[in-house]
Amino acid sequence: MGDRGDEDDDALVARVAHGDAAACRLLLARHLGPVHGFATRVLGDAMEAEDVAQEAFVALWRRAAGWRAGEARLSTWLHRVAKNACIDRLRRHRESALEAAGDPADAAPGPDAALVRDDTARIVGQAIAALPERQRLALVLAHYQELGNIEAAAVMEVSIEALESLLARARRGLRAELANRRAELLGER
Amino acid sequence: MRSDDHMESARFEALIAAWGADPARWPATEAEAARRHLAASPEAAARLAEEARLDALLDGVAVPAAPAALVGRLLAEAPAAPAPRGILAPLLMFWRPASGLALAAALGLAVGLSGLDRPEALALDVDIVGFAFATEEAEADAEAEEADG
Repeated sequence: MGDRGDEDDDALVARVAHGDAAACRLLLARHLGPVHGFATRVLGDAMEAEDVAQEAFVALWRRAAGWRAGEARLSTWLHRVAKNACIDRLRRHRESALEAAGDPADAAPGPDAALVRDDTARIVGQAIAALPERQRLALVLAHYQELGNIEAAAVMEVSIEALESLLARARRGLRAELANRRAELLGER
Repeated sequence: MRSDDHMESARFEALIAAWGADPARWPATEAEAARRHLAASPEAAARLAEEARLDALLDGVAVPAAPAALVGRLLAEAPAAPAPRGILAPLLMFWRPASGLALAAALGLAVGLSGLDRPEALALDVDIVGFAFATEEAEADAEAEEADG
């Protein structure tokens, strides 16, 4: 499907509000991949990531008529809706784990086994999944989503300085975890 | 934000510890000063290499693309075009339900075959983010302003 680069997101959202299926397809071509990838990395679960991406775009379809052009980037809005949906699911996971009288220390989801084939990627994915929720969100937004620091901070609803603090702690935590698993990373175990 | 003229070692360290080694991720207001600091400091270059190794490990974690069935479900949920008007409207009114039924049947078959038919996923329980959307109050204000003007 060809993306008409001369038409910005605001114009496409206006067309969506008038039932223009071609505009929907163009918006999905531009934004579904990043939003789905974001949810997949945060949740570590392919099916839940699909649900989150679906919720974000259905929310857009339903509110397209009220979209105010120039007020926010569509990518920021979609990521923020997806972030909130991810947080809801992560909280439900934690509550379920507690109700099951299980192990509250390990409520973070692991990467879906189907998502990672390579051992190094699997270990790094597990280290990302083990990060505290907000640090993981910040890391995924800043490293993988190509949003830029101002937009990533807007998605997180924090200042750039606060985002920077989250990122520094996330990368420090990752480095420590990967150092603990150095032997595995080097294939010694 | 900080001045773009000069960067202390401590600030450079904090910058790459948070944003990593790729200057494309650094805050634009500090990127040039950070590059100058890097060019002048072998220690900074060594630290950058450490962060680049962590970036490379992160880059290695790939995720699959969004499945085609998800695109189909989202297109099926998209807003419908308004009802046609004018002299050809009766013809179009007759035509559209037929084409809609055919599309729904095709999508249902495709989704059913793919094993991904999850009606509960269509429930919209997302915490809707309101920014960038006109609220009813704002629309009423705008209408009142137009009337006043």
